[in-house]
Amino acid sequence: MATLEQAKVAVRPSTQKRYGRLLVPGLLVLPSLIVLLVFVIIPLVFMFRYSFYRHGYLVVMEPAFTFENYIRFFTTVFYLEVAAKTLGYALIVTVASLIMGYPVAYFLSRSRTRFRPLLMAIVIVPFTLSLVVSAYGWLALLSQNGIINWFLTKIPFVDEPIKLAYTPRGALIAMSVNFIPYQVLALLSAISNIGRDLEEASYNLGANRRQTFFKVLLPLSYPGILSGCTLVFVLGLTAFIAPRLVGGASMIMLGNLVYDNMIVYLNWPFAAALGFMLLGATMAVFFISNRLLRLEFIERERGLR
Amino acid sequence: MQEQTKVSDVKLEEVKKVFGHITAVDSVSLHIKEGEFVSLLGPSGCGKTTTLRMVAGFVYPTEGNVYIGSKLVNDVPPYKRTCGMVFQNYALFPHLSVFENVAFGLRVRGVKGDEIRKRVAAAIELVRMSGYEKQYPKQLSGGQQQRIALARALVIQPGVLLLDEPLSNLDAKLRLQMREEIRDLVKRIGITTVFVTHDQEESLTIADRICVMNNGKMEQVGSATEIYEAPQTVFVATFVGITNLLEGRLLGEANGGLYAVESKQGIKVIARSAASEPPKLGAVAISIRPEKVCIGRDSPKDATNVLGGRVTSKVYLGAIIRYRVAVRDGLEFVVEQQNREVEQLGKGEEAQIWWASKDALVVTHK
Amino acid sequence: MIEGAARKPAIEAKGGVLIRLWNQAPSILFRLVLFVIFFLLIAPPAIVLISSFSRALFFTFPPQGLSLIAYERFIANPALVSALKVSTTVGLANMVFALVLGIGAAFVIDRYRFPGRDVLEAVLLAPLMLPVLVLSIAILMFISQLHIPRNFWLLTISHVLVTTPFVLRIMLAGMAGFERVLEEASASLGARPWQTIVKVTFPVLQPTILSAGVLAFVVSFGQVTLSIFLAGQKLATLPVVIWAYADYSYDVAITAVAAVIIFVTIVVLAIVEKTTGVERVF
Repeated sequence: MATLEQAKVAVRPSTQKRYGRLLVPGLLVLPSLIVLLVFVIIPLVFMFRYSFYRHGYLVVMEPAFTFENYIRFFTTVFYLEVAAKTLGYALIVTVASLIMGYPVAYFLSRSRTRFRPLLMAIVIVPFTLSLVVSAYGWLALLSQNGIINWFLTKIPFVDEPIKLAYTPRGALIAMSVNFIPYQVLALLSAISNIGRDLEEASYNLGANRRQTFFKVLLPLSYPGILSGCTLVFVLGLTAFIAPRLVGGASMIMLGNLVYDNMIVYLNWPFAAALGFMLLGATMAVFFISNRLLRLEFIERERGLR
Repeated sequence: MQEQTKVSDVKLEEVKKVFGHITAVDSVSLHIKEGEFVSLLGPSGCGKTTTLRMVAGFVYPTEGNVYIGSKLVNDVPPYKRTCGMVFQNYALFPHLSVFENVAFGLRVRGVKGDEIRKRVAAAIELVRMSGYEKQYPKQLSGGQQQRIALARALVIQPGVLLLDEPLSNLDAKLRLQMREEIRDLVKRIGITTVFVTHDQEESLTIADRICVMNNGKMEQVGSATEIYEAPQTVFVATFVGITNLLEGRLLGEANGGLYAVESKQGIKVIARSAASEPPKLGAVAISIRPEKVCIGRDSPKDATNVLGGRVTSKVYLGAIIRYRVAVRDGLEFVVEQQNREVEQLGKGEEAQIWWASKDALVVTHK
Repeated sequence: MIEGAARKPAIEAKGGVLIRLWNQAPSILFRLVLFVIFFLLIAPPAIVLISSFSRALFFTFPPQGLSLIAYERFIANPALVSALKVSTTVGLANMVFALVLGIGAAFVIDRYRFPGRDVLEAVLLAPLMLPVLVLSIAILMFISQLHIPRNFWLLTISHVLVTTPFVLRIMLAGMAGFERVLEEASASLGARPWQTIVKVTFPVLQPTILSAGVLAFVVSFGQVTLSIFLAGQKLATLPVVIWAYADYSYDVAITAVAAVIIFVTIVVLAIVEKTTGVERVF
């Protein structure tokens, strides 16, 4: 018995268990990685390849190696206009959602109200709610006899309902509000990290509300603003549901081009090229934002020292 | 409780634990006898908790052997050892009721219905928590959680009970009460117990034997009296209780197991050594407890080790009066005088202090 | 009341109502702005819910009369009922997959220390930042080229791609707050590792798992983009139905469909709030 026990000591637990240590985490994480590889990375790589295919008349994609999809995009005024509009819309939506999101985030991070969970839930709803459902709701809100026009016609100077549904204006309103949660969630932690005492110090030094906001709050919440805006801008770039449902047929963004070429015109190689460019733009935006954030942190570190 | 698991002894042989570059525990050898209550005492980071966790099986020793009940358990996982453990934050399962918390160890062993009910009831009774079976840990106070944690550890009839700073989260009054309760309970059951604490008073009052640790090494093992009255190292002398420490050099052996030491300030002191081996010549220190030092305007004629000085502060503590006496070269003595009808000195007064040679101890730097 | 009335004149005597209003104007304005924004956030789903119980055949405000006609038409329409079934089954299957994958990955990232751990976490969370539109068309093109037909499992897996990162993030947050000492306590009481996982780790993490699961379900239940491209005719989900109808025709039943999605979303958020709290999840 004693010799048996002694023999066991010879095998140190470390060597005995090394393989077991690799086996368990490997088995746990490998499925996720395989799914990502097979359903994300490989399809994206192939999409890149398909963007050099040719649109055939009998087949949706004809193997080829041609740049014509990209050339077509960059030489057609219509597409460039769509791209420019998409950028513009995405910017508008980003700024508008930030302007609306900031007060909400400020309120939620400072207020001690007991309705906080409820208000938080209201902010989260558009985040979790299906895009088509909120688009559908916006259509109702913005229609000629919807609540917004009902309210506007009560104002003395507005005689006629304003056409909002099926206009880019309406879609931009809908998208801006839909993206507020992203801004709020990004800003919440940033603003919570700014101590209330900093604001009070600012007031104490004689700054008024406006000065305190622009000189203390805004600069300090910059990381939150940046990450929120990045997310919303990227979402705006690839939006196609609200533009189609709320904006109507006249509102065409790059996402709509992708959808139409996939489903209506069946020009998949061109859709692949558009998709690849959208992916590239997205990654570029994330990359730049990441760089800016890192710069900010480096400067803050320096400022601290 | 019937069919009690045999109470085990615990033996650590030259146990060492290295985490990365840090040696948390360094060649600790300790034999805890069956039914003995041993306390591991030391400041945070001294390796006492790591030592306990090696007994429990959460940490495998880098070197050395751990035996529980004469069985080598180096590679035995914790769930196969028979150690009941009480954690610092009690670690009660938040999703289980008091009853289920206590029953947990029995259920995972496959003990069946009636038997579980009987044994859990007995364990809860043992810690005087009957009636709380249906409550959840969150509904209990710290002391109550402590009791349940104890019942949970004992119901599996472990050979050894391990307590990791179990009282540190209780308020002072409750801590005193729980201390006594734990000691009574453990002694009644007769289980071998290892108790980790950084609180010297707790350690001195609760344990049969105390193992003082510092920097991963064992400094001294002994009863409360031995640790306090006969410290062997500078660390033990200063960590347990207050002491007057005189750094100096050992000059040589005087008669009858006494040693001559010259302090840095040039004071010659005759002192005793409590270590089993005689101290080596060279740098040592002298430890004299404040209450062993006498103070007066004049020392009696037969007094030994007399020093003259001036009282720099006097603090009235009720039962005792604590003086600080500046002797020379910045050397200051703390002296505690019993509050009887003896002459008291005022601040700034000239004073003489003296002590018996047997009360001065040679302590070494480890 | 009486006390307030008694005190009021004293304050007014000092400055008067107008000056007080002027001083409070910024905070009143701020509250007004907040009110409008919160209204805009809640209005779209609210109007759909209200309209779904309306007797009118198109949105009008104020609503005219109560009726369940929209829901009756929903139930009477086999295509819509089938879509409800598809949405539910895809959502549930997706939830199971996402939980298995997400919990497994979260365990590894939370419990193990190894080089490249941060990279692994970033890679597994990356689909959250990927434009779903691009992902959808890439998968559609890829499977078409391989002549794989669109089917239930493909649709489910595509949803899993976007819901797993949610699960992973929620689980990581939940596991960060998990007290590992509970597992040690369990082991010290004689529980084998699998017993500890089944009897301690999972039960303690259960609220987090529940939150992650229902969120994975609702994200799939409302997911439009992937479904539009990958569902095909037979597997249309509720959001796809809304998209298709809104594009071509109008039917009040669609209002009921949208309302059902809103109900499910609200129920899910309520569950999340009850179990882990909405704030800790997002």
